[in-house]
Amino acid sequence: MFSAIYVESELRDHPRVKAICDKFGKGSAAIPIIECERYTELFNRKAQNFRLQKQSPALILARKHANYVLPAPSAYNIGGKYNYYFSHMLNCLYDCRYCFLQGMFQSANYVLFINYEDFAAALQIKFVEHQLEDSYYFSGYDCDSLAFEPVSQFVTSILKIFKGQAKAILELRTKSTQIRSLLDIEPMDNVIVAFSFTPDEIASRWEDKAPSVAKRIAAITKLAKLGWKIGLRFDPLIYHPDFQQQYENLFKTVFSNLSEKSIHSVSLGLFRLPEKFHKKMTKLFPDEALFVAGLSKRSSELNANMISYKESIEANLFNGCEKILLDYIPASKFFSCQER
Amino acid sequence: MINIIVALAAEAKPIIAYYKLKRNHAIHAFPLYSGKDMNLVVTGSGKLASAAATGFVAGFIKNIDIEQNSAWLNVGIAGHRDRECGTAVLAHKIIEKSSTLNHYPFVSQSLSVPGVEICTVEVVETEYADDLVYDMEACGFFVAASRQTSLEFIQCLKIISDNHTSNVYDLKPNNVSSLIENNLEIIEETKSDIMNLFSQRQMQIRVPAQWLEWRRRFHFSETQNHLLRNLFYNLQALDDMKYIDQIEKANVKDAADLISILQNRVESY
Ligand code: SF4
Repeated sequence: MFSAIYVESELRDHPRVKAICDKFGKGSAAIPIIECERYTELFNRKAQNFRLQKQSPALILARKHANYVLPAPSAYNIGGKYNYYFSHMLNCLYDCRYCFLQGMFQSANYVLFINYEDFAAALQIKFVEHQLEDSYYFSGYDCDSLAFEPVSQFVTSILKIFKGQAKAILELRTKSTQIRSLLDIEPMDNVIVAFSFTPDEIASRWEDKAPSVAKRIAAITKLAKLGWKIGLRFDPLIYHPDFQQQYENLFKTVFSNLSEKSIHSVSLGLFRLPEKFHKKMTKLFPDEALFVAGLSKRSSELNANMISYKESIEANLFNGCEKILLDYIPASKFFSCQER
Repeated sequence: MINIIVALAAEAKPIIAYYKLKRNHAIHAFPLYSGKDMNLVVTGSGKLASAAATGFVAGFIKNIDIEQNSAWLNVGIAGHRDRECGTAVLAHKIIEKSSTLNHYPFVSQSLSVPGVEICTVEVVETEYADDLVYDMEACGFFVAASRQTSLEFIQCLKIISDNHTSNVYDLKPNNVSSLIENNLEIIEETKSDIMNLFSQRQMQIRVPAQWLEWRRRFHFSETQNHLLRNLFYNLQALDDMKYIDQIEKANVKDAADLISILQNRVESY
């Protein structure tokens, strides 16, 4: 599963670290366990190749020291005024070609911050700050919320914090079918399990290692039946000359498996990358059409230094998908929350 | 191209024979041996010598290899309190006795050689105080090689030569050569593993052959050269290399003109 496990020295006796090291660092297929001082020594080092490392990433067990809960980027919202995100992990088990993490991080190694209690404490401070109004918390910005759950058990621990906090709404964004931690407990009204989708043709080509669209739908169906609120994130929208048909098929399949009642919200996301990330990603994958076809650099003040589809393509794609989508859901559930 | 860095002539001897390397007599700064896709340099003992020779080889290959890419392997003897002499170990962590800086070579899942913490010391270690493998070069080598290439293409392989029961001062050049010779298979396995990753990367960044043809045709500034290479990559990604073959060469005035033609084509997608 990993090429090695790196452990920050100060955490060597931490119960979560011990449990993970015992699980993977023993027996005939033992993974090497290497101590380091700070995860940044390895993770932020320049001259590493994300693409090669992604073939067999290492796991780094680290402590996060600050910035547990941060204001969410403006595109990350579902209609709320107060939006925050938190990342207990950096990098993802899956390998979506369009993923901005490849452009953001030097290394493909997974960093798991094991001081969950500090995340919980920071969240509770925000709950108090926003006790009179709704506030939204997004998990799954720098990783997939659920993919690593069998090892990390982070979601299990954080859900306890959200229990009974009606005004604090948690979104778990994922492509994963690792939903055991949710199946084992009572559905929570203030938790949205938000699955990301692209059409089958896109997913099978560009979402390596992620569960297939069909498997994601099966996971959603199970959760919805139990009463969990479902979010649907068609994000990023990927252009193809046949996109109308591709998205029509996707929406048809998804919505025929879900009752409207179980859908909390639906959103469409644009494919946008900061120029710096795009440059790094094209260096890693010089032969990748996804990073070339139809893209251009935006010049408007709002989107300065962003690479995205040319305006005409983007408008056509977004409006086309929005139109099809509104045949399946009421406008009240649709969040067109992107800066455009 | 892989560059093997060794401290001692006795360490180098079996490797030179195994890979049939030839001394490059034009180079005097360090004894340098070359063969097919391989250089070996004998650095002398100590981290400074190792770093200096690594830097020197990097400069040498930059003059002959326009891609300026390389892979690096440090091979040498080292001590450990109770590891058996003759055992090969691979650096998973390199610490420098004289500083607090640590280094973490890439851990390759396909290598079965046990990973260890190597401590680079300035004088020969005979106490073996900690559970560390002691050497005198790894750190200098690793820091210098890291300046030249990506982490995945650098490894540091040590053969245990001394321990609590086998005194380092009893080692003769012949013993050193035998220790290395007995581990040539592991050296080859490690080298192949690095080269496997290295070749993958070379394949990923391979520029279409027509790029060289056009580069020979006009003079390109550094920036233009970079731009041209990216445009070739773009057309390759778009599966449109045939467009380049269709360009009427005689109608292209200069480098800037070619770049503009290709830019228009890419933007048409
Ligand atoms: S699932 Fe999300 S976080 Fe993971 S690789 Fe894909 S886009 Fe990135």
